Amino acid sequence: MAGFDTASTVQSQVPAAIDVWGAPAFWVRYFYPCYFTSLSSDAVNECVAIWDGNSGSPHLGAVSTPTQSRLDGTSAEGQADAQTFVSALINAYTTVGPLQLPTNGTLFCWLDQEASTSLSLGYWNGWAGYINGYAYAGGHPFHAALYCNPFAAPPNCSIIDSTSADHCYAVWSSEPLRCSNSLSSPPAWAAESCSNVTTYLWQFWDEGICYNTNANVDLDVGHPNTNYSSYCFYLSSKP
Amino acid sequence: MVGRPRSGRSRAACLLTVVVAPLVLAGAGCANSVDAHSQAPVSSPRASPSPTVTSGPAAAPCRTAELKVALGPGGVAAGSWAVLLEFTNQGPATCTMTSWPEVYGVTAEGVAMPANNRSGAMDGLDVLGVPLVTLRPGQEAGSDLAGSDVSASGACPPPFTELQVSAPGDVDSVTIPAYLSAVSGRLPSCSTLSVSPIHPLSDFSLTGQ
Repeated sequence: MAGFDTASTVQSQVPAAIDVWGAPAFWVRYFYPCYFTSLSSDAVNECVAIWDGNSGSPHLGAVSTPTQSRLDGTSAEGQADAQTFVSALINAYTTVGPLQLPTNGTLFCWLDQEASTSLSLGYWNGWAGYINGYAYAGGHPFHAALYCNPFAAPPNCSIIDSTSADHCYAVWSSEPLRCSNSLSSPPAWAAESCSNVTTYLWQFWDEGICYNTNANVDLDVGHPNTNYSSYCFYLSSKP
Repeated sequence: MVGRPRSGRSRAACLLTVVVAPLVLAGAGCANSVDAHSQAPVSSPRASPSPTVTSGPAAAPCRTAELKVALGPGGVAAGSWAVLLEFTNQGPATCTMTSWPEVYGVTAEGVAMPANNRSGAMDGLDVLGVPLVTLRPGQEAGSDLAGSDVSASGACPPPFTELQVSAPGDVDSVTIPAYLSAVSGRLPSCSTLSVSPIHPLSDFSLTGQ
């Protein structure tokens, strides 16, 4: 169960990425707040491209990248960024008719914490508290999750282990890299962790390091005992 | 991010190609262009006065000494970073820029790492190709500079403290600080740098925050 994450639009990477790697089981895309082009900018065409790329597994994961200095900030800043994220998620969901919430009621909502970024407990609780507590579509579908680099200097992602931290449902680890593997031949599960939270997703191939394809995507693989796609949006038909 | 090794052609040869025959630049291998579609003169629309697209002979290539070079907006995305390298024509005359700037990341120890050329840009380059950008005095163009803050070995080398930048075809360079607020510090040196062709700033679809 391997897929792509990209800061580019999906339509700009299909068919290039698929020509290089094959069809992904999922795409992880950026939602506001983020610096690079948000999926919300052209949600329909992005979802059309996801469908065209692999109609057999048309799944969309969601990550947001607030200005990194804010992650060391206050609960209010965390809540504000979470509000923006949830608004963008709902906007995509309501804009793209066939886009569905996960049937298991659990959409992992990734917060991007880069290697050089410190995450404060206050920010995390403001962010995760809002994500986890948001009532929508008859339930609470949004679940706080953290992208992080376990090799980063502490406190890296250990903040989510705090007994007073709002619940983090999943970790997406960027280490270690396995540049000799591919989408069709992902590495045996060996994702690093820096907390007690289960690592569900592993970014094992980074274009900036493993390098030199005609596609602007990183490669990710889900935990072998889970199905990461089931924690993503999915398309019930072509938009 | 997509990168390719730099061409082995000399700067002088590249300069000659740009001045004499910009239309064959892409195929000449001077800057490893593979997908040039826009070889007509393109003017930067952001600066004032409004640029003019001319069909006559191209102006002379911009020289590094006549350019203000600075880092513009930048951001991060799950292990990657990118920043817009901005060039402003500070000279008295109109000049042109095309192909890739030459960029080196330099650490505090003086270690210099060259940036590889790539065709696209992480910074949302909407228009591909290698345009000929005409800059009147005061006008700007840009190039996307990108890298990674994840390391294959777990620990990254010391970050870059400076960038050494040359306009395409120019042997002179300028040195600027390698600071990116999006990473709250110096530019990470975990991976090889990559740089896009020079484009009008309007070609970069930055959404910002």
